[in-house]
Amino acid sequence: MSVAQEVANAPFDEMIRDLLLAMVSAQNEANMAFIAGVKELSDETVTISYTKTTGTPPTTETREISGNALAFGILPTLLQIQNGIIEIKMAVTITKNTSVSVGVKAKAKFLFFSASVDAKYQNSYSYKAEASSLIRITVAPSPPPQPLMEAIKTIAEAAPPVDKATT
Amino acid sequence: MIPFISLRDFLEEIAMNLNVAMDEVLEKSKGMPVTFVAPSVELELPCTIRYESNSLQVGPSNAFISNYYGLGNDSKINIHFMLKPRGDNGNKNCRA
Repeated sequence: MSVAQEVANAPFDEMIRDLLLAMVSAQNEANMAFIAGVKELSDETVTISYTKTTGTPPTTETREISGNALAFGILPTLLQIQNGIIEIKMAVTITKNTSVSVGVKAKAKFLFFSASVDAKYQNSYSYKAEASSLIRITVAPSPPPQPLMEAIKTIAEAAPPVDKATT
Repeated sequence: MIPFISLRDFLEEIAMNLNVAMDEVLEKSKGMPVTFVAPSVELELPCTIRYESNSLQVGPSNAFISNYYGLGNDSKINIHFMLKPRGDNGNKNCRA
């Protein structure tokens, strides 16, 4: 591998794309765990027994309220990445675009590559980290998973807790 | 590898790279319950800027320009990109 090839190790746009997709992937894993939690709670029947005294003379009956856990308002915790800041020290290199493919990238006259300025880069090329470029990407989720919350509400409303006498 | 390109090409290519990246993220995460956008991207680019061939030429700091030319860290370009919704051309009188 030549010095030029090793230095120019990742197309700039692909580096940013992959950073954002990594966050999407991480959040989706968290979402899947949340959905599994919702399913588990919808299958879980909660029963609460109590004694009720009414009338004159007083009569006592044992009653119970039962329903799925979601109907009782028990929800799993959704961990959501609200925002994040990614900072990368990198060295930007430029090459001429000789690509013949079609698409937005093919229109570019030059291709930008970014190499992260790590120990290997610094030691291999006697390059000081202070001279490196910095990219600071602020990321935020969009849009919030509102449809999922609507689905939970629908499940809870379709099977409200039932209050019935057992004795 | 090219050490210097014109300032105009440099800024144009950086903006294009970011737009391509953002488009690809939206495309690849289509149908997923949540996606991430970058409402703000800041770049601090140490570089060497020189006037040559009737235009400003920029050489971003990297090992190549540092070792072969002894340059690359005497100027700095700070760029702050903000997300702008597609189709918003800023003209309040313009209606779709």
